[in-house]
Amino acid sequence: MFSKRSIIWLGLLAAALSTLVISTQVDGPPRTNEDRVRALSQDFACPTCDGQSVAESNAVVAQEIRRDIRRQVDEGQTDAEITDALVSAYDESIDLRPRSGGVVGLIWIVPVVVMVFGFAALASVFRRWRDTAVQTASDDDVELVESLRRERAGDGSS
Amino acid sequence: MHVLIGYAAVSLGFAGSLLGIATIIMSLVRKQPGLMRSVRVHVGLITLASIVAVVVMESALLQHDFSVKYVAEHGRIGTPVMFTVATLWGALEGSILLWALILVGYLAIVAWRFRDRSEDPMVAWALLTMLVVTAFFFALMLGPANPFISVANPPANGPGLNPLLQNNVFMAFHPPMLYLGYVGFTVPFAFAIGALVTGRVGEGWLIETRRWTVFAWGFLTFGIVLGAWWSYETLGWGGYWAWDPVENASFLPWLTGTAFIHSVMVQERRGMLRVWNLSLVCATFALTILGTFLTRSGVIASVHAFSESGIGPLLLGFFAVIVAVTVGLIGWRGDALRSVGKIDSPVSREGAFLANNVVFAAFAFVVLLGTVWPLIVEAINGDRIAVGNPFFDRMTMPIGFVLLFLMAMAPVLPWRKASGEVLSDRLMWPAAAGVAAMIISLLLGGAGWAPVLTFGLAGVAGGAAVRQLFIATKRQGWRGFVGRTNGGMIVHLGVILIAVAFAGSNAYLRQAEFSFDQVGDTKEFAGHTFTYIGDEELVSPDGRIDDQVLIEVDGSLERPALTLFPFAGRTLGTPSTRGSLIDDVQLSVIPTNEEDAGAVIRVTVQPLVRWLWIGGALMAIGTALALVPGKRRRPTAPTSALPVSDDPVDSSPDVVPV
Repeated sequence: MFSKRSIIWLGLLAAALSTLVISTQVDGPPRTNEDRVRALSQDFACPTCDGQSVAESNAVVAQEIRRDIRRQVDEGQTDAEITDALVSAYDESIDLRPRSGGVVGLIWIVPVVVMVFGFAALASVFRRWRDTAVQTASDDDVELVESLRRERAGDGSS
Repeated sequence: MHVLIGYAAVSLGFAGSLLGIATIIMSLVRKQPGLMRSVRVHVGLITLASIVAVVVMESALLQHDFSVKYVAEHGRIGTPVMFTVATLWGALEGSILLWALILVGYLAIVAWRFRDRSEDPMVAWALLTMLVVTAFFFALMLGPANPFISVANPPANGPGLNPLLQNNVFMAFHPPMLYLGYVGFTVPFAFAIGALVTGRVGEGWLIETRRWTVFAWGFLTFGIVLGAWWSYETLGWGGYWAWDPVENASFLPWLTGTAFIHSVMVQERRGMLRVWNLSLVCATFALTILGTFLTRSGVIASVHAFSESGIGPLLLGFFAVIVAVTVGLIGWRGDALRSVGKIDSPVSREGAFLANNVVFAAFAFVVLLGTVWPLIVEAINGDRIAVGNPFFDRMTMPIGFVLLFLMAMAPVLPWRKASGEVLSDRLMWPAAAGVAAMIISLLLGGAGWAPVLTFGLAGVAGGAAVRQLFIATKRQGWRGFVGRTNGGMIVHLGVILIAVAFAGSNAYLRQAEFSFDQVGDTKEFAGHTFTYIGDEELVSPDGRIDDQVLIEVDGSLERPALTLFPFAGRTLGTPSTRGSLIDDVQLSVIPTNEEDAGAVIRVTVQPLVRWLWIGGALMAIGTALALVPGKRRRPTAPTSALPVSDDPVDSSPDVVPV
């Protein structure tokens, strides 16, 4: 037996899930080669301009690299092939995506560990709070609070 | 002349800060609270000094006094007045001067606001803290970041500002807004130190500083959004946020500040999270200094970074002192900070705030890690690597989803404990709004689970915020829009619009390059028509030359250009942006080597971008509304209330004790 309310909730949930499933199947607008060039050029640092990616920069090198990416995209190369080509042509410091191995690769692992640790800590805190028995004030406690209150009220200061 | 007066003003400011510090210490050590009155004089002196210093610098800039090194290096005859004024924050020394002015402004307002309580040790310690920070910034200007150095042989003209900074009016507003935010976090930090030192670590200091924090946070938000807008309009690559180290440096205190604004409510309500809140306030302030160090010392390369200077070690040292002092104080006060309360259930308002804080802290950690990782790796094994977009995008996307989810849930959750029934009751309409948003986005051509999920969560969060505002306005009329909770919900609506704009503009961005060979050439792309009309050259009075390409977009003329700055020897793109609430069309001219007629244009069509700026404006409005006092007033203890007079005329100001 479902209440009216739970039927509405089930309906909403089903609608949300099916929309999500459909959304993965729908084709977006066709991706032009330029769309790919732009996406890729955001992944590479412009070697001569401080801290800008190839996509943002209008420096000569950045334009050259964009043209380079453009040519390789037109040739039908994969993203990985283009990355390898650019890294070997320039330097590893051009690749804005940190490698996944070695010391460099720790950057992908550390945040996940920290987040897991953070939520585990949160969960354990909640568990501790839940397990703390509800404390009831003893008569002595009540008397103590009352006497302090009287004292405070008689004191005249807030 | 300018150098002399300017340097004298900076020296006066430094001396005034030292005198103020000495006086407060004396008053605290000798237990002579009366001494605190004279601190007002010192603050007045410092205020005068910083105003004079800024006025002198502006006067030197406007009069093109090239005997001042700063003007000789960054000024130029012919620069439009607005950018000449803005040159103050266009380079390192001037930006420190602006920082000092704003800091002193906050100092003066705090000193004035608390003038009746200057004998209160907590206020004394807070003022002392602010004066130490002020003294530090004046010391920077006396030493390595001296804006008033004279040039022996003044040049006839200077090179002018970096053209990139002269190409858009936002340059005039974005840094001051950002600094009002950054520097504003000094106030809550000062009171946190005051609370820790005096041991009054209860809720009093929070109530004093809550508004200041929200005020600073509002300006920081506004400054960041303006920066994104500047980036979008000027760079013409279809982006607005690049995870540049300087952007990250402004984002870090925003993240911890946002966490604080939420968790402070748990402390006010339940008396919990004292250590956490103090740590957040101190971390926020420390991060503003760390950010300044990272971006002003030359350790990290960034387009925003000014030239290398000697202020790096000083800023790093100051950062270390701040961290050491706050960690030490919090450790020392550990016992007093232990809170008594407990949270009954994770499914409650305070439970959601706690989760929010863990996520915001993780967010800040990820951004900080990505920003400094190249430094760490280079220190460990000497490898030079870069961390950019791919890392930040992948890592922050799940965090964004969790935050959106929490933003959808928290406003409908009651304090203490939520029953399933209450939850189902309150969440029903927001959830329906979310599902509707998903279906509508799909019908309008949305694709991909990530943006559609974003729209859905945004719908629920929007529903939850609107529900709160609806209930509040029904109960209180227009007052249902003001006060912390309701203003906060309007801020939420702004954030939701920004989330929707992010999702839409990133997922559905379309870009293409077209070469137009002849006048009249027409191209079609992403539902828009582009017709090449011709070229035009435009020489501005300040000397820049715009090579405009005339393109008709859907029938209306746009003029993207390549702008040559002959005085700087640089050519920059000046994109044109034409937009609606549905999508923006941005045109950038791609420089070509060929001399023949025609033009190569990069077209970027980005849906929903405009909602980013609307969301930013809504966040600013919401923050302002949150600062309007709500219905709840600070209760006055009955014993300290004024005696009520029968005749209202009689209770004229002379009865009011000062």
